[in-house]
Amino acid sequence: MSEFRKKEITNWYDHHSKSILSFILLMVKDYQQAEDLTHDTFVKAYLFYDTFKQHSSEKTWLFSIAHNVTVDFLRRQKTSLFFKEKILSHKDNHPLPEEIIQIKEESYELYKALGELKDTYRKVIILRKIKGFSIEDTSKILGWSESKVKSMLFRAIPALKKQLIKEGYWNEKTS
Amino acid sequence: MKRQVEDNDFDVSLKKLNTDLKWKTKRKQELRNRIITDIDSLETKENSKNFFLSTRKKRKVIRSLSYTGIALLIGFGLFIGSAFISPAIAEVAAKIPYLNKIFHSEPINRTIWKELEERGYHLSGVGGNARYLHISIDGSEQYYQDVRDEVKEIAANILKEKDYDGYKIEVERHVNRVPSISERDQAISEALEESYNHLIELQFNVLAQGYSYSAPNSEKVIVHIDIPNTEKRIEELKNVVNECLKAKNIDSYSIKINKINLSQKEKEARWNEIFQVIIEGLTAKKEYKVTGFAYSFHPAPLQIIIKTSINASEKDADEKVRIIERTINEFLNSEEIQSKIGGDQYKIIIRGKDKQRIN
Repeated sequence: MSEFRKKEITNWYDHHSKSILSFILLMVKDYQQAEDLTHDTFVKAYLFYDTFKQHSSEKTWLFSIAHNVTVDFLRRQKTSLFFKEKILSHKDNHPLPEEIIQIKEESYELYKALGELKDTYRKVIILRKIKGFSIEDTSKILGWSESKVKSMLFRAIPALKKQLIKEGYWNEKTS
Repeated sequence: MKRQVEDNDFDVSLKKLNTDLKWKTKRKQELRNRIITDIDSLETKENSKNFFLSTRKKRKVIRSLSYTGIALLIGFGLFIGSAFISPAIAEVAAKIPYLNKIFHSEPINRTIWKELEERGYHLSGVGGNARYLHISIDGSEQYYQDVRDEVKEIAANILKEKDYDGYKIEVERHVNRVPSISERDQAISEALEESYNHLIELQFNVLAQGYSYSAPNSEKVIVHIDIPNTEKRIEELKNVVNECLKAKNIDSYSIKINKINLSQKEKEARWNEIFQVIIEGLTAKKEYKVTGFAYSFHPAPLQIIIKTSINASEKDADEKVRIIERTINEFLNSEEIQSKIGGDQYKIIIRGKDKQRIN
């Protein structure tokens, strides 16, 4: 049984790990942390495999674990950031290590702008627009109602555009 | 890089961000290996999984995971990092009993083995006892001389990271001490292998099999076979062994059948895992003054014997003894260990420097 489970998890890893990693990376903006949290996601998927009920696709299920792991991490980080900032007053915005993960310049601007949004806006944009999940799956992953997903996205998109304009990457629509 | 904000464009750009994030295949592969290794080590601690699954509420489950060792094969660096900063988490970390933390991490010799192997050193073994940690190096004398100090330093750093101050590290060169096997021994081994295969075909549950000499320089061999005590076909079993040995012209031997109580064996196996943790935990730190460990299931209840260098006349001897007792009890009474040992009774016996019981 556990052999089968392990096989299934490694199979899922081969198919979905990159997508999971980039989701987490966009959320936490720290590559090393994103790898660690991706690791946690798959280990937890292995541990809680029995609770996977096939109500959703495995991808949705994995994303909901990744989401929980990330939220937990961000919550912990907030407490620690409070102390860190008091002592070091440094901004926790690690650049991407070039040798490990690459991103094209144009997308890098988006990446940075996304990073400035609040968490709730950021994750709904990532899941709906970047990862292309349906409203239903997004609501499962985030544990939100479908109407909350819609209304959050409705507010998040203008916020992102505003951020891009603020940083000078976009012009306001002229027509 | 200025562009018009068109909704379509915008959607396309967002989608593009997804494909533009490239993750190096090598890193992906490395992480994959890390996950598999950790899953494997979780398997050996299958029970810890049950422990978590038995905690019903999902949120609570996820939380408890992030507090405990298993998780923290997971993100050890992260966890320790935050423990220093966040008082809330530091408090939780402090509440996990010392031995339970060890229970959830891999044995120290495996950690050292893995680290050294990853760095490409040729090893033949990492082991130890209450005082020494032995690392044996495979290879020529020159190779041994070249790497000895580095290996020692790496191991020392691992111990330091874990705050283990109780071991002295000994690095030695592995010398092949296995004597060459005589023709007769070769024949006995082959005969026993055949008999083993026959027995399995005949549906015997052979738990272990081997042979020894009744005395040094003696030709007389004793064949040992462990089978469950429920097995009734003893004569049939002996016949199979006899035939196989005779076929190889071995005649000077006797057969010793050990009847094993399977539920007792299983119980001992469960405890064995726990003993390993107690041994590592108590010998890794000087403060416990532990020099050895023993146990006995007979007579019941199980006796857990801790040998120490505590002198009964020392002024804080009582305090030291109490700390050892408390450390063990805290671990054995924790929910996860209780679920493993299912209420087995035990008795802790602590011996002092003069080998007398001091608790």
